[in-house]
Amino acid sequence: MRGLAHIRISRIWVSLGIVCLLAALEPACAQPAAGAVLTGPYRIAGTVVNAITGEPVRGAMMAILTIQDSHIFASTESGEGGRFTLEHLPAAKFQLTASKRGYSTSFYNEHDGGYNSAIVTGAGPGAGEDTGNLVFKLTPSAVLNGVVTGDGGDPVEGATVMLFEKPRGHEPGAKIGQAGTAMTDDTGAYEFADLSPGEYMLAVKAQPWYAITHSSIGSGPTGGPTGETEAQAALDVAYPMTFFDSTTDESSATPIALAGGSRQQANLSLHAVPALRLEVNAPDQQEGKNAHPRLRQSIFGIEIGTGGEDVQYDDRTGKTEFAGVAPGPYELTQGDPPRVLEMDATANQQVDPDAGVPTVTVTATLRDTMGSPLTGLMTVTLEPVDGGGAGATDPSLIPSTVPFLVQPIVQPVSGSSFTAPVVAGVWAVQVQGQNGAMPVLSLMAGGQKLQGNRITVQDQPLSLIVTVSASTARVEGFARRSDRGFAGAMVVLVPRNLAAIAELARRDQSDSDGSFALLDVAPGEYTVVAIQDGWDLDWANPAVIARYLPDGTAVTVKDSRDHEPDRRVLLSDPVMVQAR
Amino acid sequence: MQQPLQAPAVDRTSATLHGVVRSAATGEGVPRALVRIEGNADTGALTDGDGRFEVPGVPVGPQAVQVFRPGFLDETAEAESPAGDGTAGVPHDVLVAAEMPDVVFTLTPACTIRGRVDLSTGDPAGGIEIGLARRVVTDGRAIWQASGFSKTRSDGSYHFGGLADGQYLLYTTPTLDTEPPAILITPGKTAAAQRWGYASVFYPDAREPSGAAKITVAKGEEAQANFTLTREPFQTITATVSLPQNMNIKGAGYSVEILDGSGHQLPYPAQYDQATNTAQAALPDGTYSLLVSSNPMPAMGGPAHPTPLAVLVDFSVAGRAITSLRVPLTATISAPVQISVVRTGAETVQTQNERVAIMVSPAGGANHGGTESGWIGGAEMGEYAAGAATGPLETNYMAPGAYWVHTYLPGIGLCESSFTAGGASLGREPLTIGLSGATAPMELTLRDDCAQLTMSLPDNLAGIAAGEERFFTVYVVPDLDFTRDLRPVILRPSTSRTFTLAGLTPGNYRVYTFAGNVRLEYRNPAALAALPNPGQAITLSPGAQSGLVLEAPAQ
Repeated sequence: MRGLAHIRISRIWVSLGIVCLLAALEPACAQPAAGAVLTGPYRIAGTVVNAITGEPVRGAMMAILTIQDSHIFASTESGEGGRFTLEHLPAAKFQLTASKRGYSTSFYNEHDGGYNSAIVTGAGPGAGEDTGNLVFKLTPSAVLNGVVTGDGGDPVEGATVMLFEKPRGHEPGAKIGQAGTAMTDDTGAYEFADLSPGEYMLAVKAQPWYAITHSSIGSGPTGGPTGETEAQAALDVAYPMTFFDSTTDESSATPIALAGGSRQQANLSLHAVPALRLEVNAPDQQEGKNAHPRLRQSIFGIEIGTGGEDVQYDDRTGKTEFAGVAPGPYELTQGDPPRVLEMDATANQQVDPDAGVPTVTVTATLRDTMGSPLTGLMTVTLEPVDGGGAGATDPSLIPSTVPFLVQPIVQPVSGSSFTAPVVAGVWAVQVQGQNGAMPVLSLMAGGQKLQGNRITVQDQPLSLIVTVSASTARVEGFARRSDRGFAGAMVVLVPRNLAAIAELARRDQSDSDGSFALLDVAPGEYTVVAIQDGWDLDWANPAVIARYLPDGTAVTVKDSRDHEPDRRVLLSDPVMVQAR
Repeated sequence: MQQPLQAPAVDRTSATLHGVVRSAATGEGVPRALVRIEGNADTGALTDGDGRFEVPGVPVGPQAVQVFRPGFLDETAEAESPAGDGTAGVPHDVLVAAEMPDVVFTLTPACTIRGRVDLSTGDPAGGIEIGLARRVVTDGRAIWQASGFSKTRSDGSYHFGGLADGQYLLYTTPTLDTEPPAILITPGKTAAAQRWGYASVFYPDAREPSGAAKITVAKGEEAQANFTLTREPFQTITATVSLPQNMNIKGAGYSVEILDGSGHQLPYPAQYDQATNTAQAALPDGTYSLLVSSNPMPAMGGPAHPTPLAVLVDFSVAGRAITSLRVPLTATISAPVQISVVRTGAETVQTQNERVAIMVSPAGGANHGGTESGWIGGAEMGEYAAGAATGPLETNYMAPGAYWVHTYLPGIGLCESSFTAGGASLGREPLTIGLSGATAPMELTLRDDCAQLTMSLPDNLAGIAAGEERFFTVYVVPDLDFTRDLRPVILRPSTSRTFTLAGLTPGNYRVYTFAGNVRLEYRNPAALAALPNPGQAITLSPGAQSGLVLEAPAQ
């Protein structure tokens, strides 16, 4: 099953609002009355070992959580030899979790993406994994720390250290993601503790503590040709975005590979350079329309908040000035309709109102498979697609130049249509409803039907009809081998049309009795495959997954008129677990 | 009087500000310090290797100057302004003229407190939160104010840098030994869920702030404070929350707090579980109170501000989980403040628009007549009541506890005569608010024959022609009980020699004048008696407009 793995629950109570709808079907819903002690006949037991060294781990907190509301049902501590036993349990499905200082808290047999195997008690003989003899591999946390220094070796206090992680696993469209942010202390030191093994990148954004930026707009003295006196210019400095190992060029950033339990140091030194001023002459075109230019900064394709720049608007002349800008690549949006300019700021400059590429307006109407307009709150996301189709590009490849509008455009939609300014390129349309993802089945543009969820935007406004699946199903079944439930297999729901694999495929991990559930499944024809040790497979690549299809189980999810989410589709035949 | 003739110069409109930045600890020059001219001139310069600086092109006239260097603090311009209003500190006032003398600024090296945490299990002690409290004077009382948190690094070490000279204490925030991805326990299963944690410890090893060791640091000193935390069972406390009959406040948020026996909020986490209508907390052995409160949302056809609900239950934890707590929420009441105005007819200002605002701030525990709060925090003000000065005023619900009362009379027509609760003076004792919001009857008496006092610096205290301008802080402290906060008056020989305070209650006062920035503990008679300067005594008669020439101390 897929759990809460990557949601670190802090001391904030998160309302889960779970209702036990499936009480008759899920044994755990039939809970004994409050106040009763545990009296069931079942147990969950095993040993906890260090995933790197294989040594037993004592003193790990072993807790089982209810599936319905993620409450702790029982817990214990691992003892001598890493052994643990939770006894007197009822027949139910639980998530087993282990936590200990110095280790990454995880679920049993957890894999990238939060997939793990839930433990089913009372499933009967031959049901699958022996729940009384589990081996829980706990991975020691990695630590990355270091010191950020400025000119003359002074520590840089208050620097924002950003940690990025290259994607693990083979989720289609997976990109490098931000894994954390830390602030340096007064000694310039930062630390990221509790990291999972992986490959990381570091970037630092900071302002020299003594910087005084000046804008030529508004009050201020006029001295030299730039409006600054020599003394003022000496303090009008900025630190460019700096990457490990102390380079200002994103493409020369050095990745840091962290193994489980490792400690690594990554120091960075910053060098202050004269700050730049960018003047934009883009007067507001329409009364009441806020067309103030925006300066955006992205690293590794992720927009990070700009900061440190001093933005001045001169309402009289319509001039905008960004002062205190560190040299580097930026994306400037100006005008209405907006124009987007990718720029590498190296000197003070005036930006021409006609600079950059214009955006075009994309209007879309959302329809269900019956052609009826959708109602309710939805979020539409336009995700830029760089390069070819899924599986054709290495998702960990970092673009050497920032593509136009790398950011997803997120539009909350109330009603059935939305409008967004979009630059030319290939975009993927995604729709999120109140009950989860609503798979996009097809797009209609200019009378032409396109399979899947991708559109190519050129220089003309585009009007789209987006057909989404409003009714989704939950496909449940059992992964088996030799007539026994098989735990920990990667289960993939593969659409009949392999070209749609990125959008319509679903995955799960089989639980201890071999059971699995594939969520948010759109109507259509699929094949379910179960693969032993399949977690390293590039499963979203049609060429890779194709060879498992002949031994898979076919399933057809029918459309339903009533937009019912989470309709249950039970596979009557078990899915055969195939070797990798 | 004839204007003095200005010396002929090439540039009369700007001059070069020059001088040196010195360390208060060594007297030596501080390199790479920033001397910044604020305001329109916004310019500055870094000091050289000897601490010397030169800022050319500074407009002639009074300029506000700030001096910075990481690792140093400017004691003149402390982070908090003397007014205690959270604004930036007092910059240096420098009178810039064509002929500038060397200006000397002094920076104090910042102090550091560092240490490490060891756990009884021998496990790595990363991520343990350490709280730092500093003794500060706020609103005339010395309190221990929370002034920062730091988490231990993965090796168990922590440090607080950039500290001003002063007295500090340190404590750990309670934490569970490990944090599984869920914190709530299925009701009825608490006995089956064992948990361990580390209780809050005040350095070096006390459970109560009264047992905390005070750490004094000054002039760049570095202090070491290590903790050893002992793991102990944390028991799960489950309390079933119920509402008054016929009341449905679906969708309302509930706040759950754990208090100690004296009503102070403890940093133990507590959660409300909407699915089961229970409040849960994990606590080590000890005696506690559980406070649950809710502010219902306004309902259709109901009152715009529904009455808040609250309940407080005392309990002890001793080696086992507690599941039997019942917490029936009950409606709170608004205890009114009665206001009477003593009219003498002396007043000329129309009082109809006079308003009064009453703020409260949490007081320390058993703190009768004392001034040093035994608890950390205490600076947060809450609005208790506000309205027309003709009263009575409705009060807002406050969690049960002891509070200091702060009265604000924004106009000048009325001044405070007395403020009592059950006959006890609120200028001397904190107000006790009970569980339902009840208090002893509160009576605020105002009068309309207020006096005013004009203070001026002595004539022999000459202004300067160029350089840094000294300043004086003046406190006018009544000899009678009062609940208003005193705002210090800042006077400067060249620019602001006099100031008039209005709206003063007639009676006896002592006027204290200090050189520079002073936060006076004016509510502590012992602290006032210990001052080297006894202050100037003055009696203000009803309706009087008095004047006083201040006795300014030498700097």
